[in-house]
Amino acid sequence: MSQSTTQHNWKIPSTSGTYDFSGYASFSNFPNDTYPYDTASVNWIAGCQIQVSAVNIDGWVAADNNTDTSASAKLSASGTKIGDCGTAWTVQGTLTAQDGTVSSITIDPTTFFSAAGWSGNQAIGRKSQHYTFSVTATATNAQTAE
Amino acid sequence: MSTGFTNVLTDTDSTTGNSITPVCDVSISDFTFVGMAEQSDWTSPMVATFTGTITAEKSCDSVTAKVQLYSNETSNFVGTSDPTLTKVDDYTYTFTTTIDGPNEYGNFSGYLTAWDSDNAADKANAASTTQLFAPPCYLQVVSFSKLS
Repeated sequence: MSQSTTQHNWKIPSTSGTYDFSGYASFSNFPNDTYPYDTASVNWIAGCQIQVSAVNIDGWVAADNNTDTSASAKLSASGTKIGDCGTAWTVQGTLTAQDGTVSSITIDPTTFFSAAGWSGNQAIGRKSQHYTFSVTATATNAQTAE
Repeated sequence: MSTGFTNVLTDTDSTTGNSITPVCDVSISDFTFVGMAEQSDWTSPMVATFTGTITAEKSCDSVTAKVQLYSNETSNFVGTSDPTLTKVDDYTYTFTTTIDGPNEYGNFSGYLTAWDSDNAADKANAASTTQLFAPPCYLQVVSFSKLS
């Protein structure tokens, strides 16, 4: 009795889920008879890629006592998540001033990952100084890809 | 089994920039009517002395002030001065100035206006207290002669 092994490869979308593979063998001289294989079940978890695509300081508003205007920064950010990135994400922005003042900015993940991205104003100090705007996006309950 | 894919569950990016200077704001911290005196005698003008302190933001690079002397008797400004401002620090200016006025009995007060010449819309104003000027009484014998 001889034994042979055949390997087949498929390309399908990488979507998390349970996939069942089954097959059968048939012989050309007995086309009406088939011999089923055991069914194999594979649990597939797609990978996840979180990416911060854009972080911008779009402009500044100068403080002006004549119009009761406070100084602020116009900020925007956007990102992408590819694959199975779970169901919860956090997007945290920080605006750090040259004098060490740190402003924490909570960014709505749904808006951040949308096509339009997130934008908002953040109050800053009156005087001119150097600022760094940083954004970190995290998938908090994404599973590890198998 | 997934191969050739590395999970990236978190990512960070940042950018930098310089905020802009505030629109210049000028305010008057102090305006004092020091007093009045004759310059010499009744033939000379009355001299009114004022001092003041002006506060302006660092972005104000051309702070200017004007002091006017107001006569309550005539309801008019009777003298003007453009005081020289002394910069004490990045935000504070002081001055002492004098204005010549009429050497006449009456109530006088001062008005101060301060602004930045590059931001003239923001003008700060202040009025001093009112003071009575009562010059000394002079009697002069213009002529005296024996008639006969």
